[in-house]
Amino acid sequence: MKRFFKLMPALALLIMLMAIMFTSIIKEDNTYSSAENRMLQTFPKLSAKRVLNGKFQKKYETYLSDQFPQRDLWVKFQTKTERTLGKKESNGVYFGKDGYLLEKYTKEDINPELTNKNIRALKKFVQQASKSANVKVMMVPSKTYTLDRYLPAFAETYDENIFYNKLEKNLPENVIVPVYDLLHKHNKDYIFYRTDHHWTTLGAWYGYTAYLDSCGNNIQDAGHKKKFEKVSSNFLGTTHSKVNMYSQKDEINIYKPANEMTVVYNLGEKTENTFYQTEFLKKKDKYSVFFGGNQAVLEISGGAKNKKTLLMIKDSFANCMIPFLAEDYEKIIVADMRHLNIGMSMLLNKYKPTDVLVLYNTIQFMQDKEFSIKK
Amino acid sequence: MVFSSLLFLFRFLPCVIIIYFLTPGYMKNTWKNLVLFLSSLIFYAWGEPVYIVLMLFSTVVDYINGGLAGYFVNRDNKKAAKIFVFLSVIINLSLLGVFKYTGFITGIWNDITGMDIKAKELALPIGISFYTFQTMSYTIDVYRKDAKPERNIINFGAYVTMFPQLIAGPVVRFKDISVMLKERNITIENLSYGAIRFVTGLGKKVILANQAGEIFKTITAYSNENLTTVSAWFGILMFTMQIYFDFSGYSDMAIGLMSVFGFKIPENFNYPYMSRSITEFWRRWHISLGTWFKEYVYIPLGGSRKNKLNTFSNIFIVWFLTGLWHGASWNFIAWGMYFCFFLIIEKLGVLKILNKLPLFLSHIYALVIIYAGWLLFAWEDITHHRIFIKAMAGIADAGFINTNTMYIIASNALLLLLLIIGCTNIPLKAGTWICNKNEIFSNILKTIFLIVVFIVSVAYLVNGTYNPFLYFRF
Repeated sequence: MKRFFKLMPALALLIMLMAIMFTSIIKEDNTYSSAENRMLQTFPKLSAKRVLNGKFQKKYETYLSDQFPQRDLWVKFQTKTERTLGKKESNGVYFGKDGYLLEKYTKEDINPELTNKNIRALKKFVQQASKSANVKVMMVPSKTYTLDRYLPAFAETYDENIFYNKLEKNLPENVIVPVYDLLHKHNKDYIFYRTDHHWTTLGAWYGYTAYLDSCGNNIQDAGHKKKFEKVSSNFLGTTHSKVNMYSQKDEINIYKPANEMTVVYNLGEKTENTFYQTEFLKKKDKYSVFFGGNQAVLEISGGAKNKKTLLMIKDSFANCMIPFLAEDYEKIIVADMRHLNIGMSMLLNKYKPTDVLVLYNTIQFMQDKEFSIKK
Repeated sequence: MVFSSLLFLFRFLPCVIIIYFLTPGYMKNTWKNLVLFLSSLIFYAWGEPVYIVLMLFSTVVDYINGGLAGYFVNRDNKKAAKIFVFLSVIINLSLLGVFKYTGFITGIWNDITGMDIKAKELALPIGISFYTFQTMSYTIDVYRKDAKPERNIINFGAYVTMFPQLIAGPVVRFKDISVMLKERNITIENLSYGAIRFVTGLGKKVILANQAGEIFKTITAYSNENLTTVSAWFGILMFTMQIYFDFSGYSDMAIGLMSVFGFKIPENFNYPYMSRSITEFWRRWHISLGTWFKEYVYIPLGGSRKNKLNTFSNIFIVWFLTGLWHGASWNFIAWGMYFCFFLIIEKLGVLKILNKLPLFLSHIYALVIIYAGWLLFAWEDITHHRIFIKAMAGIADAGFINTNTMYIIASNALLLLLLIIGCTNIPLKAGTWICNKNEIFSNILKTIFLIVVFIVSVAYLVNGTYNPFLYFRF
C-alpha cells in the first residue's frame, strides 16, 4: 500500500498522458469550429516527400492542436486562469466591468495616412453632395471609447478625439452630427452589446435623435419609437469570439414601424416587407437579423409621403438605425460602399437625394481601405 | 520537437514510455538504449529531417575517435591518442563553426576588409551547441581515463542523441553517465520524482516563462515615446524572469525524464538569483556548462594554480568562450566579458568584502549586476539597448511612468509575485516542511500538485493555438 502511494504521482501523470492521447486518437475529427469560425486541419497528406521537407510534420502538429479533445473547454479554462492571475485582457480584448468585453485599439491599429485619405475623400463627397442635398455625417464612436467607464483600471484605448478634431477641421460645422457626447452621457444605459462591437438598438435610437436634432427637427417625435421588441436574449458577438468567454449574453431588441414598408434588396434581388431576417436569430451571427447583414444596396419605400429621399452611405452600424429613419422619408437608399462597385457621385446622380447621411463607426471608417477609392 | 508541445506530451512521450518499459533490460540495457537512440533520432528529425545526417555523422565520428583514443591510451601511446582527441575537437568545433558562426564570422570579415561576401544562410540545427560539447567530453574523458570508451555504438548513440537533454541541456559529461548506460535502477522513487520534476519544469516553462516573455515582448515593441522609465525596468525584470524560468524549466524537464528512464544526471541550476556574488552566481547558473568549461578549458590552461596574470587570462578566455557559446553576436561576447570583469575584481578582494557585508547588501549587489547583464543579453541589435538604457536612466521621452505602465504592472502583479517566489528556495522549503509530516499525505499532495500544474500547462498550450477568424466588415 505504501508503495502505491509512492508511485501515485508517476501513475497520475501516466494516466493523464495516456487518457488524453487515446481520446484524441479515438475522437472523430471535426472539420469546422464554430467558436473560432474557421475550418480545422484534418489529417494531413502523408508522403515521403512531405515528410522529408517537414511539411507533413508541421501540418500534423496543427492537426493535433485543432482536433484536441474538448479544445474549446481548454481554451476557456486557460482564459479563466489568466483572469484569476489578474490579467485584464486577452487576444486584444479587455475584460471590462459589468460583463463588457471591450476591444482594445492602439495607435498601431490606426494608419494616420489612410485616415487622412478617407477624410479627404469624405470632404470632397460632402462638397459635391451639398450642392443639391442636405448632408450630414455621423461618426459613431467605438464601444471602448464610449464606454470608458467599464474599462479595467489604467486600461487605455485609442483616443478618438484625435479623429473628431481632424474631421471638424475638414468638414463644415453643420454637417457633423455630434453623437459622441450624447452616447457618452448615456453610457450607463445598454447602448452597446456586451459581447459585440456594435451599438444596440437603443444606442442607435440615441444616434437617431442626434441626427434629428442636427437636422433641426423636433426630438420629441422620436420618443414613441423607443418601444422595442426583444427578439433574442442569447446573442454572443464578435468580441466574444475573440476570447471565447462571456459573463452575460446579449439581448437583441428591434423596432417595428407601425405601417408596412417595402425593401428592395440589391437592385431587385428580392423584395420583402420587413427589415428583419429572423432566421439569423437561430445562427451565431445574430446581428444579421437587421436586413440579413450588410447588403450592397437597399431601397426602402412606403414611409412618409413627403417626397424626401435619403441616401445613406454606411457601414454595419447603420443597420439597426435604418428602421427609425424609414418612417421619416418617402424613400431611403442604403449603400454599402464596401460591397458596391460604383462611386458615391454616381449614386448622387442616379438617385438625386434630398438628404444624404454618411454613417460609419469611427474605427471602421479610419481603417476602410476602399472608401477613398470609391469617390 | 520541443517538450512544451501537444505533440510531445500526447504522442511522442507516452509511446516512448510504453515501448521503453516493455523492452527487456537484459544485455546490459542495450535494447532499452536502442529504444532511446531511435526515439531520439525521431525526436531530432521531426523538425529538420535532413539534419539527422549530422547527428549520425557526429555519433559515428566521435565513436571512432573516442574508441581509438581509448585504444592508444590503454597502450600508453599518449601521442597517438592525442591525435584523436585533437581530431574530435576539430571536427566538433568545425560543425559548430559552420552551422552557428558562419554568418557572424563573414560579417566581421566583411567589416574589416570592406568586402561583401554573402554567407549561405543555414538553419541552426537544434541542440548543436549541446551535443557537440557532449561528444567532445567523451573523447577527452576517455583520453584522461576518466571513463572507459564505449564499445557498443548503440549505447554511445543513446548518449549522444538522448532526447531529454538534446536540445537545451544540461550538458552531460560522458563520465557522469557512462556507468548508467549499462547499469541503472528504475525505482518507484525515481519514477515519481521524475514525473514531478518533469511537470514542475513544464509549468515553469509554459505558465511562468511564457507569460513573462510575452510582457517582455510587448514592452520591447514600445517605441521611444511609449517607453517610460518604470516600464523599461519592468521589461528587463520580465526578461530576467523569462530566461531563468525558461532555461531551468527545460533543465527540470530533462532531469525529470532522465530520472524516469533510470538516469541521474547533474543539476543545472541552483537558485542562481539567490547568489551573493557573481562568483557564486556562476556556480548556480547553468552549472553543467560552467563545469564543462572549467574541466575542459580552464583547468587545462592552468586554472588558478599559476600566477595571478595567468589566472586572469584564463578567466578571460573562459568567459569570452562562454559568451560566444550563447550566440553568434557581439552582445553575447560583451555579456561574457562583463561577467569576466566582475569575476576578476571579486577575485582581487571584492569577494572578501561581500562576505562581510550584511546579507541583503550582497544580495542586492549580485542581483543588480545579474540584472544589468540581462540588459546586454536581451537583444542582438544595439538600437534596443540605446532606447532602454536611456529610459532606465530616467531620461525617457515618455517620462517616468504613465497610465499604460500602471496598467501593465497592475495586471501582472500576481504573476510577478509568483515569479519572485518561484526563483527562491521558498517553495521547496515549504514543500519539504509539509511533506515531512506524513508520507502518504505527502504523496497525495504531490499528486494533486502534479495534476493541477499539468492541466493548467496543457490549457496554456492549447490556448496558444486558439486562432479565431473574424470578419470585421460587418
